[in-house]
Amino acid sequence: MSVITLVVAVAILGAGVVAALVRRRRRRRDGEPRAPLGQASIEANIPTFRIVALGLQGSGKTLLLASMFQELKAPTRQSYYLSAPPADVARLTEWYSTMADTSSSGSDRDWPYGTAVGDTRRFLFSVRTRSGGVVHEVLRLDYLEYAGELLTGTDEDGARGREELFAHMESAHALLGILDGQRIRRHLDGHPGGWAELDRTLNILIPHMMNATCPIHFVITKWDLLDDLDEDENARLAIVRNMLMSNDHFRALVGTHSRDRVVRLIPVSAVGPGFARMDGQGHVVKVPHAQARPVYVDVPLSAVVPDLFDQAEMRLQAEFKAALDEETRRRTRQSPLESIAAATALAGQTAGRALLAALGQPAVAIMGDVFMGMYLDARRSATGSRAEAVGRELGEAEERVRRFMEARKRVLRDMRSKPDMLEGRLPNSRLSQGWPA
Amino acid sequence: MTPGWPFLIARGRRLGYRALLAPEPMVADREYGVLTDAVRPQTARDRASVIEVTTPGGRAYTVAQVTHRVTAADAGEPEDPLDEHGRPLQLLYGFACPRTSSLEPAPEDLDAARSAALDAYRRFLADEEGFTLISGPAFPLRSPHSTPAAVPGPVGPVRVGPVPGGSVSSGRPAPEPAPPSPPRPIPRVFALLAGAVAVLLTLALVVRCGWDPGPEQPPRPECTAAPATPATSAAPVAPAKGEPPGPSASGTPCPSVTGG
Ligand SMILES: Nc1nc2c(ncn2[C@@H]2O[C@H](COP(=O)(O)OP(=O)(O)OP(=O)(O)O)[C@@H](O)[C@H]2O)c(=O)[nH]1
Ligand SMILES: [Mg+2]
Repeated sequence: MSVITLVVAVAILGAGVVAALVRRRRRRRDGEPRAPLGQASIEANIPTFRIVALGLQGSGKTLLLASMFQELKAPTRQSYYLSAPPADVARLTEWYSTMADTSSSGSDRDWPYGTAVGDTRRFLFSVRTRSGGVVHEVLRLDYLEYAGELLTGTDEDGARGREELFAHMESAHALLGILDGQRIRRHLDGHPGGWAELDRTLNILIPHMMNATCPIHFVITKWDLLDDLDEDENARLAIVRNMLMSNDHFRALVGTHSRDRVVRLIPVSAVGPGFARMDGQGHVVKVPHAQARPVYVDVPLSAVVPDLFDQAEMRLQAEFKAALDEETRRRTRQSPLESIAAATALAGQTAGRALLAALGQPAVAIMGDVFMGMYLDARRSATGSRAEAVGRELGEAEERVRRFMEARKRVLRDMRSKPDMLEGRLPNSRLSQGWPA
Repeated sequence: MTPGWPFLIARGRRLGYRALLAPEPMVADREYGVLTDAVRPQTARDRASVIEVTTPGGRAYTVAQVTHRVTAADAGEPEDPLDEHGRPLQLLYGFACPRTSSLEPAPEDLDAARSAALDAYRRFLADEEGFTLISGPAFPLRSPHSTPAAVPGPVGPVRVGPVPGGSVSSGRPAPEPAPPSPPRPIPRVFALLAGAVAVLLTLALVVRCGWDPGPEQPPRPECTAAPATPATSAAPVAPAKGEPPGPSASGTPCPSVTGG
């Protein structure tokens, strides 16, 4: 074989390499489906808030969770709803159905079992809303369900569950102190040992909550059992509030936390009025054929989330801008944006922002500099199909981001309205003013 | 003989879930908490399921567990007993044996575990505060199982992980370590380029040393290069020492307020 033949072979090989490169580039440009611009940044910007309900065994944590999900699983009285993985939905629904079933006798009238130590589990809820046929996920909640004895135990039993609970508490974004309405009732009824039971609860909760730097609120469960304390619901709450505030430690805890923010006392009933009563042995028993109509169970979450969001908003915005810029930058390496990749040099132009603001672009505040530069350039520059395509893609991204921001705003507004409405109805639900001392 | 040990985890009317009866070796080592953490109530009542647990000290057990609602007859009372909040009570009972790769819980073993559990539970209900943990004695296991690794002892290297309650894995077969991720495929273009460079280098060598080893042209004696052996198959290249085998999946992201 001559040298010439070899040279020809190498030339053919080289041509093959070039052809492969060109094909690869064309494939990228044409067919490959990709997520619309802005979507990845939106998804990366969904915050997760970790919430822990601190309550002893039997205080009503599991039924509150089940009822809360039942209330919020559809957008009935608010624009948002909770979504969870199917296995969790099945479990929550099972608890609720067992709780709500008063139709038959015997074991069918049972309450759900107490949570076992080995049954400690995290529920990851996604808060969603629909608008214009699109489902927006606006935030996520990480909620720990555990056996109340983990809070009090010290021995071998449940060491791992306890460690998980304490780790969760330390990294919590909000703590809810669960006060058992049944114990409050026993104390107010003058039951011997009633105060001791309540005092024990406070002694266990207060040290954990005193150390917390995150927002805290208190929840009184089994509110229906206190129905006959006073006809007026706010007066009823005043009785409980005064009783709690007479405890020096409780008062000090509220005082400490209210330097920064509002501390609330939220009464809830997982079952609603007339569903259950206390029998002679002190057991809570269901009233035959009564119907569950949960009360205020959606308020505790609504009381914490908007505050948490306000705290995180600046950071979330900065992160969103950075993510969107990165996404846009990545996109410029691909057609059709690549032809005006130089437009990114326009980044950061205040004049451009002012122009967009003047044009009435509501998302202007959260768009990153790279995105803005390209957006402006596409509006200003050349005509022709490529420039138009670029303009269209950027316009759609801007619209997508704007809709997401609006959806999130609406959800937060709805959430805020719940504790506000409760406060309108029950002014005693505000334990503190929440302004700096 | 493979030993089995009964256990019971339950709550009382007032006191919360705890181990009331635990395998003798776990009690001796104060490692019974691993059971309280690992045994979960099953939705299918009175049916055995099998899990595996490893204590913080590294002892490996296979555990057959049953979830049972406490009845009036179990408690020797006129009505089904309830806890102080009016909820029904349940027993999480069963037996543990040294880790086996297969275990089919036999009714005889489950019955033995159940009667030991009920006995312990009645004593507990009678005096919750005064009750102390019972150490469950060994019985000869009748359930079909594969041969265990002798008496349970620390298996392999002792766990030094951060989990104080040991570890648990449920169901069978026991999870195997994830296979190393395949090495990242080298982009085709680079492969082609590398191929072209290799061909060019070979050519340069051949042209310099002369090629065409036909009978009419003997090799030049001054050329010192070793004759090229054509490679027919490429052996897999092991990563250099200290090099990761390939990209590995990142851990579960810890939920954070920063989104994602
Ligand atoms: N009347 C009334 N009773 C309630 C309500 N919520 C809970 N209960 C009663 O309190 C019991 C305990 O509630 P759970 O939700 O299981 O308590 P928990 O805090 O999860 O308890 P552990 O799992 O043991 O930690 C229930 O079985 C009911 O008897 C309520 O809103 N109203
Ligand atoms: Mg519970």
